[in-house]
Amino acid sequence: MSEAHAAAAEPTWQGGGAPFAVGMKKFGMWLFIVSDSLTFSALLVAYSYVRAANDWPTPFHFFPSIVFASVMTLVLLSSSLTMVYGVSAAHHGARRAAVKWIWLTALCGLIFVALHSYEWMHLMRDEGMYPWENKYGSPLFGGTFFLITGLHMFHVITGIAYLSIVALGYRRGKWGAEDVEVAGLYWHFVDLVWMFVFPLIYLLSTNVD
Amino acid sequence: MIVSLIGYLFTFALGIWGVATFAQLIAGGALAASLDNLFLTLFSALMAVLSFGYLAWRFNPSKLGPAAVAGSGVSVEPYVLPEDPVYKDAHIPIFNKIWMGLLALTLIEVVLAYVQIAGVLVMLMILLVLSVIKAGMIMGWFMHLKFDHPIFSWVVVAPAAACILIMCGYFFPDSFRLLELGF
Repeated sequence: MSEAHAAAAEPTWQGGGAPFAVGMKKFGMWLFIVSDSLTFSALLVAYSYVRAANDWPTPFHFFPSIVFASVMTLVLLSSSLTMVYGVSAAHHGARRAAVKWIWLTALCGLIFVALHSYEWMHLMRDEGMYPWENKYGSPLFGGTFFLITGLHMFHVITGIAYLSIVALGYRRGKWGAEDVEVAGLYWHFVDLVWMFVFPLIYLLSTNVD
Repeated sequence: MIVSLIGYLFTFALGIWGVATFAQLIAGGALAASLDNLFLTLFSALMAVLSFGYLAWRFNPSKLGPAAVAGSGVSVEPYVLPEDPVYKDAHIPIFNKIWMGLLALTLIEVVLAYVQIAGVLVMLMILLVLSVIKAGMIMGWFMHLKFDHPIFSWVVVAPAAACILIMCGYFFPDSFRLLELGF
């Protein structure tokens, strides 16, 4: 961070000073996270709107849907923990350990995507639930379900690619600990979004009979 | 000075609860007449005022750096980045505890979905509040916000929280009104 030190001596309006005391990459990622959180919250609020104002179907059985979703939550939370280990190792200069933890995180993401894909296949093949129609009632049910979980799964797949690239670049010495930390921020955000998707989408539509 | 992230999240969680409850009051829902809801609304408002009052009371402009207080008459030392400015590490065991806490909260949510202690609107609020607490734990510890510069958590959390709260404030009353119209 020698550049930041040099910059700190310049006048503020010439680019000196770092009022937030974080690197520019980290600040940029946080700005992205804020905007992306608004995207997801708009979708989730829209979902809650139709969920509260409609006669909403509750088709999710304990097995496989709720069990799968719970295991997916466990996997995603654990992947956040391994990412924390990876970032911590990177900041302590333990390069090999950090790379190992990042790969483990990406592996957890792959498990998540695999489980979620199986869940989607089950819903389409066995339950006849599609984005445009379902047999339960409101067609909005399938539409909101596949839109929100699909956008989240897209984020997870993007995150796996991102983590893989960072792991490779960090092992070669192309990038430093801050890049690992920034990748970790993105991954934790994906985890954070699932903390809202899981209860709102799955738990509010459980079949309790 | 550490900005209390917990107070923030309490405000956010109770704010969502308060907005939704207030919306029910406007819509004249079945729960609206009960004294409990009025109490919850007032309690949320009180918690919000107390939290922000506390944060404003602890607010120290000298932590903002020299630019922010220029012309304010406050003389401060220029803020210089320390040698390793970005990452103040926490001990690993706290992350393990946070992970276990998140799993426990998830388990509580799953159990609540089956116990069904209340109707869908109240369940929505309970799950939202639990999720906001989980989000706070992830942001505070996993995303490292608790160990960053205090002003940073204001910069990134406050706009998002304000936008989401305003969005809830617009949407939920209308949603509950639609429910009362009985389509």
